Amino acid sequence: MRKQLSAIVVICTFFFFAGSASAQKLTLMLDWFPNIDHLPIYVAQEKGLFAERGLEVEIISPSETADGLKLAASGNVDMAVSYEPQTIIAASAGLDVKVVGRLIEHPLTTLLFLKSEAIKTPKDLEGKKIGYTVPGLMDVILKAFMSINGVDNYEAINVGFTIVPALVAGNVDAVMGPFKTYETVTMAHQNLEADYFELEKWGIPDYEELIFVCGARTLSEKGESIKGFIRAVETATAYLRKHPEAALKTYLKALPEADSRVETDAFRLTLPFYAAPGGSNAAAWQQFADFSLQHGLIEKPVVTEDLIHIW
Amino acid sequence: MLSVSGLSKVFDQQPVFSGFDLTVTRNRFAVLIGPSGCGKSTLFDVLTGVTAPDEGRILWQESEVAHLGDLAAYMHQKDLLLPWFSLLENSLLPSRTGGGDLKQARSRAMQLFSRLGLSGYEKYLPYQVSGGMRQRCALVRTLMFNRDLILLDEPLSALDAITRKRLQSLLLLLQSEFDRTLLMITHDVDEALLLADDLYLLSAKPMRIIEKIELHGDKPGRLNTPQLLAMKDMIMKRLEEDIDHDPC
Amino acid sequence: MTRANLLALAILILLLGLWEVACWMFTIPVFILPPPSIIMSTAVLKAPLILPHAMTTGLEIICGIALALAVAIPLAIGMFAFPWLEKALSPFLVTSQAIPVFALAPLLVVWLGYGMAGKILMAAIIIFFPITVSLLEGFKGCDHEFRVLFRLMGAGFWQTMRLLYWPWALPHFFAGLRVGVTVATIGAVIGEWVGAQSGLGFLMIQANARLKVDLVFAVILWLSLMGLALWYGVGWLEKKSIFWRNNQQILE
Repeated sequence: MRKQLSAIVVICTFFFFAGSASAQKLTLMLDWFPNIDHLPIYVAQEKGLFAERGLEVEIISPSETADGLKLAASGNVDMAVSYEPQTIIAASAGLDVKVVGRLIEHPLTTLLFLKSEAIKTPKDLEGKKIGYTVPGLMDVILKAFMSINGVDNYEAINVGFTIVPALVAGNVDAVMGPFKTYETVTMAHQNLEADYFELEKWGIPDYEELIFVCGARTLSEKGESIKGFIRAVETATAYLRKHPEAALKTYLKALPEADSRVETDAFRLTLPFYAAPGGSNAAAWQQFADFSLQHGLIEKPVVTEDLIHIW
Repeated sequence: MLSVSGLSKVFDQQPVFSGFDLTVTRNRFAVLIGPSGCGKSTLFDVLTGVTAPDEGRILWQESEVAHLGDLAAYMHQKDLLLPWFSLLENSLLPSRTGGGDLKQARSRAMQLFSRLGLSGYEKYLPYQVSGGMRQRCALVRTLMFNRDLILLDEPLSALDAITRKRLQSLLLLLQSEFDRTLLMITHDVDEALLLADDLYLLSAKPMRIIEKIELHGDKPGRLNTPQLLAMKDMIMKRLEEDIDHDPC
Repeated sequence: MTRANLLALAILILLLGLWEVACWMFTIPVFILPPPSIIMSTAVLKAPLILPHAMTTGLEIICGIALALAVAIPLAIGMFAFPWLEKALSPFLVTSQAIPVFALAPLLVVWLGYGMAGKILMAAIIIFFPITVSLLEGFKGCDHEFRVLFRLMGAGFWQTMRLLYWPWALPHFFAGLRVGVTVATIGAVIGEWVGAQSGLGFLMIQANARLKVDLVFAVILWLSLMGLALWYGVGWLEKKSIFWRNNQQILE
């Protein structure tokens, strides 16, 4: 009787400690459906890099791109993937978010059009119809781009998600918003050749296309776990530079529903842009924030030093 | 004027009537009386052309016709006044649909309205007047059809006793003053005895004529005479006998 | 104000009050769910901004309703006049309603461009079906005795349609129209989400991207009010058109 009782006590104690050593859960909301830009996250998960650090990461897709920022700010999700421009807008609107890491360190957004002899510089778009994808965001960036490049006469048309049909049908001559690593690939698969103007080459300050954000309160409560997450992603990024083919395979295995042909081609284009280890550059961010204020993207100025968290 | 011979109709594999014969003489009031719901309305459906008979012929003034749709006017239990037209507009419907001079029709209708005691109510909508008045308006409409034969399918059974009496006299007016021939269905023996010149007793299904009785005497005065009271007894007995044999 | 109206108003105030209190009590962030006070003040203060967009969407809805009627009424009459037509078209009509409307929206945008045409068509597609069906049922529901009467009067089909079937079917028609009209707003807004240059749906997306959630809700409030206005508008029209009492009462 005594022996059995002590056995039970031992087993219970074991489970108690095992329980308290169980993984910390983190919810991560993506900016969009899982795509090749998120590859480091999936590689980290598949290779057990999160588990190693005692983390259990749940990856959620949003209903639309602004969700992540809102839910992170309110604490409903622990972390989110978002865009620098939209994060600056959120900060200006008073959302209490912190930028904790980087995913894609340069812009992927372009002013995209069907390759043509007639369009070599932004000036060649004078008098044309230019589409944009998100009202409130892309139309403002378009306006800034056009004014910086001295194009006064153009017609801005909201094309929603229908980027490629709009171009092909000739409803618009160019679209502001497509990624140079993605839409170029999907169009190539439809035998269409795309050309583009990179924003940062034509007057828009350099910015980080994809970053990790979390709510300020979440940061103070789960700081260690979030740090572990960021380190895991950095490790995964280092791995994919050394072993790109293997990393791609791992990603495709994690997401069987992905279109492997498109994702493979997009991966080659995206490779140079996965973020190197290290936090966001506050000075560069401030430049973009000032640019945003100047061109009406935001109404209240943003101090990016408060926004960016350095580990 | 109207003669029906060998008329047969089967409904849902049940014979409603077969080999039915009937003759209606000009300017006489013929009444068909029998137990409720045993085929009288179906007979009218055949006569008006709503359904075709399975056998038999309909003869109008000696020549064969498919049905009486264009030859007879029709009055129903329900007044069938269109709720969205005034009483006057309702009465003018046959003239509108049948073509013809609307101005003339209008003045005729106004006269009939006054004759039937509806003066002043021409512009009213049906829901604004009583059941008896609506039925009178239906009568005007029936007269506006301008056809010699009027088929009446229990036109008064939905009314209260007093209104009924009033309209019964109006029906007699149709015969005397407006020179119409009437063929009526009813299940009320008193009413039949009051109105009929030729009274046909009908059996239960399959419907046939048990007996034809010719009635004489002043209408409506004659109802309380001893002969007619005796007649009523006899009729009731006959109809009951028939029902005992063959309940519908 | 009738007792029923007062009760409705009381319930509304109660619900709004609970909402307001919940927002403050649970400190729900404004960018997640704004309280009614903020929504209503935004709806009023931003009215000059919202109004032109409301007019665009309103115009799309009205044109959509007009288009739907232009299709539904002849279609219902045709299907009533020719039963073979009804049989032939029924499966297509039903399928047209089974297709989720937001699946059609991107296609319409591609085919018809980013202007109002696609939105008008979206609204029309959503509402023509209930109208067609109710109108057809109204025609079919006409009492047999009336049809016999008209036949005996020698009236042709179109005369009977004008004098009997159409007035008879009006109550059914308006029932269908009232349902359709409130859903028309949905069609127009969904059409705008997929690609528009102005309109309340467009404004919602724009406000959302700029994280101005109070404006999003203010726009929703405006949309609801538009829907209500349409509902009551149709009700008024119905009262004027059906100037006799419910004809069922008279036909006893």
